Amino acid sequence: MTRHILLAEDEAFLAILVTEALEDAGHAVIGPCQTVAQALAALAGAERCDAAVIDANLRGASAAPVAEALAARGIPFLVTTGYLRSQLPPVLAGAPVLSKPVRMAELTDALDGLLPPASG
Amino acid sequence: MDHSSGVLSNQWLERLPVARDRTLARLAATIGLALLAWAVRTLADPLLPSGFPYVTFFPAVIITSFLFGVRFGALSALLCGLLAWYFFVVPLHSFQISFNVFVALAFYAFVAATDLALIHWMQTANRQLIDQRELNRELAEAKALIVRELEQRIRERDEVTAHLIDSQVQTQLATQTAGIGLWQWNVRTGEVLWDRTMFALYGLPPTPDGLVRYSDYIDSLHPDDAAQQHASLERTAANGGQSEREFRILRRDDGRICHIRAVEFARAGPDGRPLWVVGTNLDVSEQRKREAQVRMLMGEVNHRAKNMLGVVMAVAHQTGGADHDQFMARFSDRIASLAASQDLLVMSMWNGVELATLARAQLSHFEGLIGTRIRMAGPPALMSPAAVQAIGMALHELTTNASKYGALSNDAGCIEIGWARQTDGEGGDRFTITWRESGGPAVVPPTRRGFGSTVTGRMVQMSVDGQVTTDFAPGGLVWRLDCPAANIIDDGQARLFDHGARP
Repeated sequence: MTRHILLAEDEAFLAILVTEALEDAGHAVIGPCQTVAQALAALAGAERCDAAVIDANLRGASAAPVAEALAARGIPFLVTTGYLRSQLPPVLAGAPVLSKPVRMAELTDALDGLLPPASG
Repeated sequence: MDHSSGVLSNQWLERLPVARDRTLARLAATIGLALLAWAVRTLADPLLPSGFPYVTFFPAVIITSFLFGVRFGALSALLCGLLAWYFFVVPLHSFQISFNVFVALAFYAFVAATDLALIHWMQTANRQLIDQRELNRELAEAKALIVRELEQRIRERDEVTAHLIDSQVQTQLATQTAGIGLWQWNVRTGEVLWDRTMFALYGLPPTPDGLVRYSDYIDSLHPDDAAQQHASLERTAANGGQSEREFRILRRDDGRICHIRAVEFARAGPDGRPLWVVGTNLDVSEQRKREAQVRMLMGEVNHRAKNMLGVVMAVAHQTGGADHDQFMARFSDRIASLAASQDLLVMSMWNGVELATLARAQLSHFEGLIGTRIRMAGPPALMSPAAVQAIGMALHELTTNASKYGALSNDAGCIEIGWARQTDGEGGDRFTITWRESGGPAVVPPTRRGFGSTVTGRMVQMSVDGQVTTDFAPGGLVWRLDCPAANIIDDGQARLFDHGARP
């Protein structure tokens, strides 16, 4: 079953790399979104979203609003960041945090841990 | 003369009685004087009427007593009495006693005793006088010593006072120069004495006598720190100790929060109870601000470094190659391209990089061709830091492609790089960059899309939210980027370090 993953990552190279990794793992990518506004719009417009991978900082702005919107909808998410966990606001620090640079296998494994087992 | 002779006679008198420690000499002289008196009396006997048996013996007793003391005077009186009785009292040459003889001897004894008593008193008085004078002399010497001592102490105190005043002036100058405020708190009265620097630190107008109420001082503290500062001062005063800490104040004139580093030292009064607390205040706000900035920058540097490592990892992932050497060559070129863009950003302190400067850096292998086969045309365009890396990478891939297959792979091809900003009244300015090759070998569209095309296509589009068209025209490749100007040009909003980037 194809999962729909929201990706918010402002670094284009990384966005491309993660997109390819997620697609190779059999997921469908929503995005990649570069800004908080794009991510919120993509989330609002998505028919289905099973999980999200969000960069803690999107073009100099905190991704906390995206995390709050995800939490409000009960969607699990991973946070990728170059910052230390102690520098993150609670809503981001509370989620699983992957420190950059993120290895793709690590990312897809962590994502699998968030998703409920495939039901058929 | 009179005075010196007086002194001499006084000195002679003071030595009486003489020969105090030579008893035998005094005994001999006493007997001699008695015998002399006897001889004179014997010689004078024919000249004297009858009835003066003692006349020469009284002087002998008096002189002996005067010279050798009362005890020898008494001996002389006894000797002379016996001599006079035997030789000159009738009946002569006998010690016969009759009533008349007894009366005469009694008179003699009375007169001699009176003389001895008078001389004894005189000598006692004389000795007391000498003792008194000795005492006076010692007192005078002691007084002179005390006066000298006092003068010495006054001189020393004056020197110390002068030294203290010098030292106070120096301290005042030093603390004023360093911006250190000095204060004293009288624990008993609650009065606080400030120097001028303290008033300046707290943003208060100086009072004429420098006095501030302790309650006013506590009111100047930041509400969150006031209670703790009060407790700490009370503790320092009670323990008579020293304390050092930092707290915040609210400046009275502009309401600014300042960080103060304070050192306090308590002094007890003569009764051992706390009397004074003296202390210094130093404004360390600048230091705190810089430390916070450094912490923020360290966080930013970490964030950027990690991001860059992520990019390097992505580049490594996407770089192909037939073998390890080919991979390493391509990978190294790409990392060098990223580094070149990074250098430009650092040199501009992340304030943006001119597009022409960025293009020159990415074309540095072909520097000699710039201005001849490679031409650039466009208005000044300061690119935002976020766009510099993406555009730099795209220019690098275009250059690599041109050197392998395009206009830079022969001796005649040319490249024109042009950029422009278009104003459209409606949704904001657009920015275009065009890379146009000509004169190279005939273009063959690639059969496979590699990393280069990902960079010049999808990556750039994503980074600046733009549109890329790549035309493999037979005369030469034409690459064109069209994006909102705001996404590529730094209009001063995208200062990465001061717009408060936060995770």
